Amino acid sequence: MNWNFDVLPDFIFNGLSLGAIYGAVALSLVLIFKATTLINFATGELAMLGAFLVYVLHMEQGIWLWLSMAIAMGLSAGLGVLIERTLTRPFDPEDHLPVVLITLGLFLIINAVAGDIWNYQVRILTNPFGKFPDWVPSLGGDRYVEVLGSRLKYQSIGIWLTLALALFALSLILNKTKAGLAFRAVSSNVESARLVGVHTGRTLGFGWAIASAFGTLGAVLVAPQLGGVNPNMMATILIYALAGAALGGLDSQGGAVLGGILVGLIQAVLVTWGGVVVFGQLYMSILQLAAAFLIILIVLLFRPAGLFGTRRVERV
Amino acid sequence: MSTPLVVVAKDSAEHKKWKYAQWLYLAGFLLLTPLVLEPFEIGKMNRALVLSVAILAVNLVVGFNGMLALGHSAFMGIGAFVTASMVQDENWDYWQVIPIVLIVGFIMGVIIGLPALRVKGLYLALVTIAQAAVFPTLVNIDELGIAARTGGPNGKGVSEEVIAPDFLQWLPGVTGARGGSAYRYWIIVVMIGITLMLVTNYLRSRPGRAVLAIRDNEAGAAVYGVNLPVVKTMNFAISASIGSLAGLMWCLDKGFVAGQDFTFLLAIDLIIGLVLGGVGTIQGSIVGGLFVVWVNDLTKRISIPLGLYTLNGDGPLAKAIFGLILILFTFFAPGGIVSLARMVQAKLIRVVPLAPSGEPIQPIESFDPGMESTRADAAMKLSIAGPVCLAIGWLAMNINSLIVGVFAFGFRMIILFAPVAVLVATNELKAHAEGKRPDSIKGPANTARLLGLLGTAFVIVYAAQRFILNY
Repeated sequence: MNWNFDVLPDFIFNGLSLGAIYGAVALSLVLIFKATTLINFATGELAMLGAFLVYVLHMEQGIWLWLSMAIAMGLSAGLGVLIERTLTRPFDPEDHLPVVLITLGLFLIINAVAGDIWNYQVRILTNPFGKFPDWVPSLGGDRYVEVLGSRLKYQSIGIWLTLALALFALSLILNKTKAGLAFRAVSSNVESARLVGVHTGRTLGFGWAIASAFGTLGAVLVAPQLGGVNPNMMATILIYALAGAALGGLDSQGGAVLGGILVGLIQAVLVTWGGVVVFGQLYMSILQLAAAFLIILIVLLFRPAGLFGTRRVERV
Repeated sequence: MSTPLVVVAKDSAEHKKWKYAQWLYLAGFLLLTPLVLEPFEIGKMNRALVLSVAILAVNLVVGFNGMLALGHSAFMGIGAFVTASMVQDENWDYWQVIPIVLIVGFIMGVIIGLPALRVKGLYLALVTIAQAAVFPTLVNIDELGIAARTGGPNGKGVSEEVIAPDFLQWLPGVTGARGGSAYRYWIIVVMIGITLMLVTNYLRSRPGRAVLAIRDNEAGAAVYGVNLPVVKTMNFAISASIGSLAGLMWCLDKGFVAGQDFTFLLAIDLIIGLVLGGVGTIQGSIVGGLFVVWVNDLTKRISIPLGLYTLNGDGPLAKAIFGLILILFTFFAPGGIVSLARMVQAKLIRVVPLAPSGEPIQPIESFDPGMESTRADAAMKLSIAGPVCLAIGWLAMNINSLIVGVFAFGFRMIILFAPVAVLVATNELKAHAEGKRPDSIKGPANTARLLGLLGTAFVIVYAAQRFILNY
């Protein structure tokens, strides 16, 4: 066996940046789960649609990348509200089956419509963090910084900073605004929230909006790693995000982010790096997905509530 | 139509007659399928029936136990690969693989179900969706000889052909070089029959009742002493082994298995079939499988020009149509096709249950509309509708358009109501002889009986002609 520790930091950095993206998508899942105890299987496809909006606005219409990202996040938030209002609100939230069926239907529709419009080819989307902007003094190269003899890509730093900023904004929204207070009230107890006068429907719509916006952010950030955007880009990422959400706890926002990062690390370090050590060859995509599946199984076996989730107490 | 056309007491002679009629319809349908259809269409029917078994497996968990299982494509895949490997590499016969496949499926079901079913909530959905996504990649692993067994990305073909032995050559459709698919059809039908019997009995047994109790009221079931995790896991494992059996049938039918056949999309197809057919009904599973394949076939033929853009069903959009159907059914027909069919059935026939004394709980006579009866008119309408729709259907068949084609197909089926018209009209004439009907019903009733008999004769002659043509 060849314990190649020289390249380990590379894998760690890669795992951390991928993990941060999984965290964003996992957060998108958790925000909806927390309020409705529903797993939104269309999360990935909504995020993919957001990434395609950025593609259309930026690559086709030539709008500044960050502005088109903001517009796309706003539009997908609107789409989230629309879906909540028209498709999920008519159903009894206690009965999971219809709502899950609706999200599966959305999954199919969004994927197929995107496939019809943009084909299933990979389309290049500008990397928001391709290389350092001019005003940053160069530290080793214009795309990376040398750390521990490895290259820490500007892209990874950019992803971390963006997500940190987004998380900060989210915590401000949830903790300082009235809508955020309502959302926290609804996610802790729907009945009580309704009794004290919170408009639960509108609040759930608000949750869907933030969740969709976060998903879009994750999809845009992950696109450069996948070579670009395509309608199936989120299929595997959704599974990693589910694993991250399960690991962190399905009802904990911070847990989702940390869980996503952990899944990214496990994937990069244990599976990819360890896989090279043990098997002497890359099994990337195969074993990574299997690892996500195993993570879900193990979490459910030993700590069903996840690392940071609250254990649910059932009263009859 | 205030009262149903026919009212019978449960288990009365009349009721038995209707039951026999129902079985006759089913037998006729099963017999005619390999005769009327072209070989490639029989292949499609086989695929539909295989999907039906898989949908039944999903139904066992989703419909009868109220848990969400979204990954039965993986169980199908396991069954199919085990079969392909045993038949191709070890030279086993298909029937010898059946117990192996059932056991493997059961064990996989326990491994995957146990962690998720110990806790309440959507966790099974979480695990199974990951399972469905992972499975197609797992078959490509080179280690442990997995890829050698599964054929890796190339898939695995089974060279042994399934052809009817000499003593089964009398089966309808099973003759000559093109009889292979018809023979596989018969094997699949027999296997489905046995599976349905076993599942029905299972649901009536003690564990089956516990499964239903958990769906209806989990806390209540626990109070009555049902061990929730054990019953749920056993049920999931049984469902997994039926799913694997569907995989075996898939391999038997296609003779070729590849990892990309058993993706998440197949799992969603199963869910769609479940919802389309009817969640929580056994008939719904069968109907669902037929409709998934049928709708898929129809959407491929859609091509609607809309100015600059052509709406083409033969591309990615086929999936969008499925998604739309799923959402529409969830909204407007949550009971699926079975519930719609039951609505029609309620208009046609009503079975009055018996009190413990053996008497109907409500006298049959109280349903008799007496002198105001319009049943004869209704029977006449039914009997006229048959031939008229048949004629319209034949004419419309020549117009090459999808929507018209579907209607033409459905229209022609109305001829099957001819025997119903005959039976209703005969009943009305009998009531007239007893003096319970005015003389005015005689005309419509006689017309209905005559036209109905002609329609029935037409169906029989048509079937016989197809039968003779094929031999």
